[in-house]
Parts: sequence; C-alpha cells; structure tokens
Amino acid sequence: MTLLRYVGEVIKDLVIGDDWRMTVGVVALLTLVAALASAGVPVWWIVPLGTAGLLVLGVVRPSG
Amino acid sequence: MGAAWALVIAVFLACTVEAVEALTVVLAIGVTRGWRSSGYGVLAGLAVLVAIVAALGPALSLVPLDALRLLVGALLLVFGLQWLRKAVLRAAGRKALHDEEEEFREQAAAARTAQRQGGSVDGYAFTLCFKAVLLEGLEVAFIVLTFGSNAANIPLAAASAAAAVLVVVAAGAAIRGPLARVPENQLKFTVGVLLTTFGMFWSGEGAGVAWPGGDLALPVLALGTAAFAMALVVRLRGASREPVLTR
Repeated sequence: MTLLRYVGEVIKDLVIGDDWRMTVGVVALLTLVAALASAGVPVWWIVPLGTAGLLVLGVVRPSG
Repeated sequence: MGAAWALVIAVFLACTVEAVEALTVVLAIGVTRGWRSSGYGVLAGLAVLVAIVAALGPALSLVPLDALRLLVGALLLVFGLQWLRKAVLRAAGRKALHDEEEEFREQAAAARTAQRQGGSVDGYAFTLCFKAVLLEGLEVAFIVLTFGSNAANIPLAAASAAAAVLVVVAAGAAIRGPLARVPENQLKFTVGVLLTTFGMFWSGEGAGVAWPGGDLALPVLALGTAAFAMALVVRLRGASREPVLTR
C-alpha cells in the first residue's frame, strides 16, 4: 500500500505538478490541434503558440 | 546523428537534476544517522524501482507509435512547462532559488532530532533513503522510457541516464556533502526548455501535426522556447521593484 502511495505521488507530481492549469491547458491544446489536423488544417504553429500562452499564464498568475 | 545527441543531452541533464536531489537526501541521512541503514534504504529503493520498470517498460512496445507519441509528448510537455515555469519565476526573483546546501542542512537537522527506534536497522534512515531513491528514480525511469521510446532508442536513453547518475554519485562520494556547485537552477532552466521542446514536437506529431522541415523543427523550437522564456524573465524582472520570494 505504501509503495502504491509513492507511485501515486510520483504520477501526481509528473502529471499535475503544482499548477493543474498546465495539465488542463495541454489537454485542451492537443485536443484542438488533433481536431483541426484531422480536418486537414495546417496547425503546426498552434502548438508553440499555445505552449507560450500556457507559460505566460503560469508565470504571470502563478498558482503554486 | 543529431537527434541521437539531442536525446543523450536531454536525458543526461534531466537525470542529473533528479540524481542530485536524491543524493542530497541520502548524503544528509547517511552523514547524520549512519551509512548502514541508509545503504539498505538505497538498495531497497533500487530493487523496487527495477521491478516496476521491468514490469511496466515492455508494455510500451504494445502501444501504437502515434498514440504513444501523443501521450508521452503530452506528459513531457506538462512536465517541461512545470519546470520551465518555476525556472522562469526563480530567474526573475519571484520564487526562492533551489538551494541544495540548505536542503542538506534541513534534512540533516531533522535526522539528528528524530528518535532512534530499537533494532539493528534505523527505520528513519531506511525509510527516507528508500523514498528518495524510489521517487527520484521513478522520475529518471519516466524520462528514460518517454525519451527512449519516442526516439526508438531506449538503450541509448538508459545509458545516458546511467552516465548522469554515475557522475553525480561519484561527485557525491568524493565530497560527501551537498552538490552545491552544480548550477541546479540554470540546469533546471535548460532541462525545462528541452522537455518543453520535445513535448511540443512529439505531442504535435501524435496529434497529426506535420512539422515544417521535419526533425529540423526541433532546434528551432528549442531556440524559440529558450528565447521566449528569457524574454519572460527580463519582463518579470522589470515589472517587479520588490521581488516576492516564495518556496
């Protein structure tokens, strides 16, 4: 049980970290990119742009 | 060839940071509580780590490559953004710098005051060393498996991680103290840039993005990410007259 708790802590640390908005933002960004890419839209530029936006959000309004 | 070097450097730097963190705890406990129980804790942590990686690692080969790239790329992107966010805040003076020397002192002070239990093995030393090795080791394993599987070269990623751990352990054994001379904050900034870059590239590919120039997009993304993060540092430094330091 203790081992499971340790593994759970690591997974939480990796996936959520101390700012859950990064995780939610990445999921939303990739969902949008996948949807647009499957429709044939050239979307490579959205990935760095969205990532930059998330970084700005994380440093301008830090939650952790 | 270039992609292989990028893999080696990214894994080596990321694993160096994790190894320094684990070693700081082990050294602080070993110096203050004795090396026997600390050593047992390290060995037990390594044994559990090997068992977990042996059980979960082969499962990765069963997942289709695009799905693996999307999942692993997304995880790397989240991981990288967390590191880069904190590195930018530290560099801008908005968050206290990570200080291994202070961490070592805190761990050692706590270890000195903790009660010794009866028996031949010191439970406090064992548990702390076990936990440090297992937690940081799982992060190293995550880095090796994600980078290695995406680059279709897990052995090279594992060798790079092993080299990083060996270098850190050798340095720790030589000085028997915190690795305060490792420029950890700068290292974390660099690792944050690399993780974010690979995360964007692989998750984008997994989501159906065709990067202009193929693999040549990687250095462009890395330079762009580094330049943007440094611009944020400059902007934040300029915006705050009195920095707010949080741990």
